[in-house]
Amino acid sequence: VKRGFVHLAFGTLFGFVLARNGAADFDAMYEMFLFRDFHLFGVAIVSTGLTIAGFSWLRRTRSSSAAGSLIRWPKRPVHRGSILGAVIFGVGWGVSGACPGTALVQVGQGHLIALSTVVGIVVGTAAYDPLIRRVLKWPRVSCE
Amino acid sequence: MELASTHFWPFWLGGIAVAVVAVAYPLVSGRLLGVSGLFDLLLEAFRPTPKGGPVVHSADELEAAILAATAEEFGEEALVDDDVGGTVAADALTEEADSTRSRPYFLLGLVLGSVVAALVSNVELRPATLGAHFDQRFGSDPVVGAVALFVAGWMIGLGTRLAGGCTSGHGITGVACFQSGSLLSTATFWTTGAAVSWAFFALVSQ
Repeated sequence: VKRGFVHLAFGTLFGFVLARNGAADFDAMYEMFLFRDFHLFGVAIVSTGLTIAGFSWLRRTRSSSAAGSLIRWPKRPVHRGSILGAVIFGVGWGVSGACPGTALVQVGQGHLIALSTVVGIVVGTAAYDPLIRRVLKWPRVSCE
Repeated sequence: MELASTHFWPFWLGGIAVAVVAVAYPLVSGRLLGVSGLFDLLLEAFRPTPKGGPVVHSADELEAAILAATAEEFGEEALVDDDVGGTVAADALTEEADSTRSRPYFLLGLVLGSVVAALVSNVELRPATLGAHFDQRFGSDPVVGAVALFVAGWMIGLGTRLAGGCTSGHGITGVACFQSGSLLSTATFWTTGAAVSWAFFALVSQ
């Protein structure tokens, strides 16, 4: 329960930040994709630069988290789903203006219509297992 | 027309805030930030446990099972170094089960945090649309928009699982770790998202 609270708190913080960035705003996202507005590109560039610096500091100074567990640095090599999955996701993103996190933020911002996106994400996530096992017969990619 | 982003934080403040969350999260939880995987974990909680597979109820039981399997595979001499290895493995696995249950709370937090943001910044309540460009694209009938969003959501769910991450897990954390799969996927979904937007622009903005 305590751990659940930590994740709840971080989710709340991240949801607040995404909302105040306009990262979940359909119109801001569209204007970014059309290169009319560089606001969200600016957010991405600043956050990526600082996160690179922050991660290299973490790697040098810390091996374990405050909870005592080892920090798991992900290995994400190119695999068979890297392009196909990203193209499918990109179409969904371009149509809805949402990614998995910002769909929930859109709901929280009062756009109840985005519940439709959220339900779609849950159904699409559930469709992955049967697709990969029975149709494509690819090894399952774990998301660490 | 006024740009939508003028209602939000300046880009530098937003970028700093995202980076603070992205770095603080592993510092506290030991995990890197990634949202799409959490939807998978959420479903995991509702998936039936495989029939006939081994079921363990405690760390001790798990440890005994691991030790037995180790002895079978490598012989009894592999266990000479007392049971430290077994204990560590059992602890890691029970911790894994625990975090599987607790991590999806992050998703609930995303909704809570954005509700708070909407309240403090007096966001206008528009439940049946996502914005002016959304209305232009899908018309004023919310049913059309909702159907389009469901299909798009389905693609988001399936696509992020296939790619092994989304805008946060690949785009923020994976890219910042210089992971080749994340760099390729991020470049691909940005390009695709832009292409789709330009296609809609060509169709509806005339």
